[in-house]
Amino acid sequence: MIEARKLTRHFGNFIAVDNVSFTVGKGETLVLIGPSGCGKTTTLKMLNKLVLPTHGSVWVDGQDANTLEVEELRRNMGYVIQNVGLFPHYNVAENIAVVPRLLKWEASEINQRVEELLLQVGLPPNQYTHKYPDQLSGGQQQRVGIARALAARPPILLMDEPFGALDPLTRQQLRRDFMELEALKATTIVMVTHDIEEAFEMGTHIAILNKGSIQQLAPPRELLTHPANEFVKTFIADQAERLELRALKLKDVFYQLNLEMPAQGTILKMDASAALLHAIYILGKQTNHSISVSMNGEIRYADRSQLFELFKNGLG
Amino acid sequence: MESINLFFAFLSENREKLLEQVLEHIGLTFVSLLIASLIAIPAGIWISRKPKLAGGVLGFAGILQTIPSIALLGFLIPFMGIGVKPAIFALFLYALLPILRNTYTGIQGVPSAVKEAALGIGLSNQQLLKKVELPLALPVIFAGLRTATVINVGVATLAAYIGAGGLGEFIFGGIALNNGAMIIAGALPAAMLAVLFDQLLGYFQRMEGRQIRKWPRALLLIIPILSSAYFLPQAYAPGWAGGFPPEFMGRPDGYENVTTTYGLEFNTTIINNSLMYRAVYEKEVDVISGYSTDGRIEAYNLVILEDNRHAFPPYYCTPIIRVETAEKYPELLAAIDLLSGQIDDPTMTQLNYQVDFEKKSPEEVAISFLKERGLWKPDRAQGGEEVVLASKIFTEQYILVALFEQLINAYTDLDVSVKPGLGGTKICFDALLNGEVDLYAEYTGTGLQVLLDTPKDKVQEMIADNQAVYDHVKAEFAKLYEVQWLEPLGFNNTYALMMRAEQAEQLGIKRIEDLRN
Repeated sequence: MIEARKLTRHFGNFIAVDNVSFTVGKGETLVLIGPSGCGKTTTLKMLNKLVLPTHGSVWVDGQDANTLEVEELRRNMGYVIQNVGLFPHYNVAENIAVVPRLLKWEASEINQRVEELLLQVGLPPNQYTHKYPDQLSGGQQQRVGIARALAARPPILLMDEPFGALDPLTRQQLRRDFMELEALKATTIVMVTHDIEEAFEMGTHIAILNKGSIQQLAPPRELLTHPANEFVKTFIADQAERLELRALKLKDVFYQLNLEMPAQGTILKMDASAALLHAIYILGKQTNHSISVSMNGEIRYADRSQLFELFKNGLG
Repeated sequence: MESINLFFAFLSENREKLLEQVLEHIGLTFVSLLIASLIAIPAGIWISRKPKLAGGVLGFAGILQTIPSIALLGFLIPFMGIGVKPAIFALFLYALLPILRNTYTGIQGVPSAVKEAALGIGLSNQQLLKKVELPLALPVIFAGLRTATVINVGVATLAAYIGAGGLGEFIFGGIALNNGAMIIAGALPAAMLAVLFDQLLGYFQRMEGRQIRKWPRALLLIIPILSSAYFLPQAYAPGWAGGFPPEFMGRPDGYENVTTTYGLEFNTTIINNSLMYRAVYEKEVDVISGYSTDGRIEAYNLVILEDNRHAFPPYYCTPIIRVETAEKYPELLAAIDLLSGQIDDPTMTQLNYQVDFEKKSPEEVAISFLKERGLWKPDRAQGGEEVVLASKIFTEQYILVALFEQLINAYTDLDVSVKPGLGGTKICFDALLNGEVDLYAEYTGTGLQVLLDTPKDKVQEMIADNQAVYDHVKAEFAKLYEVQWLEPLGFNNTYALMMRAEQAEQLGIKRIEDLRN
């Protein structure tokens, strides 16, 4: 859990961040979004002290971050940035192993962890461990960047436009692969993006910032249904319809799903709070699969074509 | 073909000397490089942390770089004397900028995303420097070391000018004696060293960051080892510490002559003419081959050792001119002739003293001397044909050429131009022969042994007789070169071995012979 209390940052006379507070619980994802210069990145960097707040404080699991050594604080927070920032003189395995090494893990433990992470981010270890960053594509680099951030199993993950430098296709794919990562189910994530679709797809909560202060902090749907002010309304207005679809969760269509269990194929369990779109994506990758969703003690099932129909209905 | 043979003959005769000079050269280069790295790399790191200071620090190092190397050595003499210390210090100053700038640039060049990510995942500032910034900056730092090394190999040839050894000994000696083989024997190895080190460091530089990681430690060893090369030759050199200018080393009447006549051995340091007096005064060396009329003998409290076996012939100073020019301008001869017999040994010593110690200009000294002798007249209107005067590169010759110039301006309509400070006897004489120079002051002994290459027994015959030497060179030069020796000016500026009076007295040394014990 991470908490920002009245974070404020001045650069000379300019107030970059003004009195920002939020709490992100375990397993939750808070997305910070807003126009350029709204203070979203500065806010993120105050969480791991790359930028020091002028006023206010950060609390991690109920502890004031000021009482922690800055390196210790950071080693407990994964950090992923837009330009990846892999060490060009280290190979993939060495890059991922940086933090475990700093923490003096056993070599065998490190190797095991590197392999495990490479598998999770979809880079077969036998092909990639010994490659250097300049031998990887942008998407592959960011996969390594994510693996590096997760290496020491940090309870918190900070991401600054992690998919921002990628082409749209790679970006969507990486984003969805990322959401599937098992390691992240219990991780607290704070992410900055300028892509509102991404925010709606990934955030359990979204904070819309303007001129350094939070305009509204709410779950995605609520931003659509109850925008707090004119700014929020105009900020999402252009794309409101599409966003609504992205904000569509399985629980919103739960009672339209099947009661009978499919006779054959594998059944994947999914959380009711998962996005409908995400479920379609997963099933698109695994043919002959269906999902099961449980809500209020009831279990329902669906296959891909059924979910797709529901999604299309949402368009209408 | 013949010059190539001369070159190889010179090399095989001077193998040991060459090896010694190469070692000294490598040593000078790397001692200074080592010190410069120890200071410039941390300084480069420091200014990369404080970008506001970077401009100033780099600018200052840049200014040091622009000082001409000979001038820099000159500046350092009052503070550090001569020899190894100022040479290394000067090389160190030249090596600073490339290393400093490349360290700074290399660290600045580390992508900010990499630095941000490194800090973000929890590296401390020190770990960032050690694990990320330095390894990534290393190829650039190597490029700086490479530049500095090549600069230093080049500049180190000048170290011989102030008695610090190195391949410049051959180069300066070769220039003074107009000996091509000798110049090449110094210049070629220097160039080869530069190319060798350039290639070697270029190899490191081209390595990618990831391969290079193992090398810095190895280099920490290699540089000090190369540095110590300087001290190898000194460790086993026998004999008196002698400081001799390059020309003396190569002349038939010079080093070879005095060591064989007296059976002496010296641990020689090659040093510039004008600095050797200081070298013996500062105890860098014990014996020098000075000029007997030099003003500094008294000022530095030196004694001339008696040449009881007549190793050195007389050196009566006499203007020389091509016969053709002499016939063309009789008024020129008349003007120069006003000086004949006018300057005796004490007078010349006194004139030299005024320039060397009272810091008067040679022109000033020349004018006041002429006034004192009633020879001074205001310049005539110029506009006649031009005559060119030359001087060798020591004080006395600068004064003489100023005297000649004054007289020609005052007593003839000829226009005078001066080529001062030509680097050696052969250079002056060759310039005279091919018509680039019309007149300069030569010395009878030099004419006898350096320019005429008179056989040894013939030299021995007349060595004690001033007039015989003068008559001989006058006749021979007229015959061989169509060059005329005018009337001697009056003083005998002979080569003389000299040492500190105090030390000579302590050891009871009065004659060159006494050095044998």
